Amino acid sequence: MTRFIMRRLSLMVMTMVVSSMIVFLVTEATPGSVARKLLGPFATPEQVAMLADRLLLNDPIPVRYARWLGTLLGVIADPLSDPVIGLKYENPRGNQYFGNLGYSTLYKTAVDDVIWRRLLNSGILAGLAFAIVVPLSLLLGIWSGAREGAIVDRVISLISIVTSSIPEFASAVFLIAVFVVVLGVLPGTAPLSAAGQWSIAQQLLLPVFVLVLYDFGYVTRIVRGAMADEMTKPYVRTAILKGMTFRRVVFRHALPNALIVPFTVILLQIQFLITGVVVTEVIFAYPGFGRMLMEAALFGDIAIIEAATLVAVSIAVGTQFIGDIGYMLINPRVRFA
Amino acid sequence: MAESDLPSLPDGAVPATRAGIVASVRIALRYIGTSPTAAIGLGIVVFWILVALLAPLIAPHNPIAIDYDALNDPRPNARYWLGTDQLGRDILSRIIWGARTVLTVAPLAVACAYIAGCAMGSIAAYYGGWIDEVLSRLSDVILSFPILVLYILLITTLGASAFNIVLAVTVASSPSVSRIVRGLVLDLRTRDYVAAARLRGENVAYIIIVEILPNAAGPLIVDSCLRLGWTIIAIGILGFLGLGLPPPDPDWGGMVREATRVVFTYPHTALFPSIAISSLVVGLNLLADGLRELARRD
Repeated sequence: MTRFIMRRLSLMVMTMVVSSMIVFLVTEATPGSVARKLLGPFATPEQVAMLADRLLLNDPIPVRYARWLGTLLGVIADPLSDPVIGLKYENPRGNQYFGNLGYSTLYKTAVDDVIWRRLLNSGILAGLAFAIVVPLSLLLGIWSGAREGAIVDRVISLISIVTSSIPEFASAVFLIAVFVVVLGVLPGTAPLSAAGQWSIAQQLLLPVFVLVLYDFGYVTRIVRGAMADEMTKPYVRTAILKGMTFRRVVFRHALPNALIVPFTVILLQIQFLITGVVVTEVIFAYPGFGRMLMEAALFGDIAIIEAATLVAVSIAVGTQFIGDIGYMLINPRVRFA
Repeated sequence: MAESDLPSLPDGAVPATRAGIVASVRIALRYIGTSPTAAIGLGIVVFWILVALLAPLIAPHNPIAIDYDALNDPRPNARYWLGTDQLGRDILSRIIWGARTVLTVAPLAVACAYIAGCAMGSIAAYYGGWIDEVLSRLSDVILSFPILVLYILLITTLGASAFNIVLAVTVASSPSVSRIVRGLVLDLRTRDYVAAARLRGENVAYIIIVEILPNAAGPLIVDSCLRLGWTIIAIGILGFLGLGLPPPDPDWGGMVREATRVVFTYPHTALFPSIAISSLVVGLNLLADGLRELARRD
């Protein structure tokens, strides 16, 4: 077991290194320089060139990647902290320490000051949505899958198909139109500051609703499909013919086997809900991780993109690790390689 | 319906003549017709395919022509059945032409993702060992990226065009196809019929393509229709975020984006394109569900 965990950790580090390299290569080709975006459209080309020079953007990619890695590992001091650049970069943690994520050119502050707060915010949103989506879809999926073809199955299937077919941007626009414009009972933005007339709970209501609406149908359909499949297996027929109660057949016999596929899908939802909720966060002006990452991608803020990649990779590898262990526990046919 | 009433699907026995094709289409339609869910889903999808094909004939107006008079009252009327948008362009015609875009780009992207994903996943699971490690780690790197951010990074880098959207979807989507295929094959490769084929001395390609993948087809058919739906939504989202096809060509997501500024006064500007996207995705999902039902019935 210890060996398994150690192997997973080393794989995680490897995945991080490879993906951080890919990110450097991809963002390199992004049109428009960070220096131009910082200075705005009215700066002269000379000014842009000078800033680009000071930000050390003109060095070849391998040099810049090595510098980023060195800063992260605490081998060298963050070159952007050099007062010559004049960005007034101040990091209370110091300029050279292990895990230094660098300086965000977009938010004009240390990455550490932005990313963890954003991750926490997205975690709150994701946690609330997840806490509703999983029990709801398990309940509906098991219920309709166990009674495939019955009226209740038809109704649940139809509802989950329709809700999961409506893109987040469409449902968000209409929920805002109804609850914000017409009824005026909820706020249309969720900046998570309690200063205005709306409490934070009220602000969270619509974004969570949009996410649950979009996500629960898909998970329900996966659970239902797996459950319905399992209910046609010979051993279920045998159990029913043996005279067992339907409830016992469903929960003791079919359900444990039916949960193998949905288990992985449910774990993937954690990753999606924490790091992939870009549209909902953009529409509701929610200060979350996905929106931060999108803004950084559009701006070309390499420090934020890289840091976010590391976080996203750890979440993905973490959930996959849990997934593999769970998969092994519930499906004895799969063993450690 | 009794078992014998169901038409059986021919195993590629029908010759590729005109009559043969007509015959196999008829058999396939009768087969799908036995499931109401699949039939309704197919009906919706075929409706949108016809709309896309016949766009030049059925669109009542030019989708990019601007009518300044319509700006006074953009609501649906006798001349513009679904109203006009914030620039005075006919919404119905834009939806009709937008169907072309989405029904070209999305299926192409999903097909590419499937070819790559099936190859990766089945090879990884069948061989196991270091091949599995390398392929799975490669998938992990891509899957660990939030999928939309991956699209955004790729599209901002490559530029917004139909080809680049196909490329981005293939890159972003094939690892999850691969992971699903891998899971299914891992489960199936322990079955007796695979061991039997191996003992018969069949080669690996035969075992994967003939023995394993057909048994994984049920979940994969469902997944491919779902994935087509997601891809349509993803293309809509890219349009909504301003990273879709360049204007003025109509694209459903972009129409909703443009409508957000006037949506509170004139909700129809966002409503109709949203309904278009949702209905196409509902059609695909119903088709997937129905096909799955049929596969299980056989």
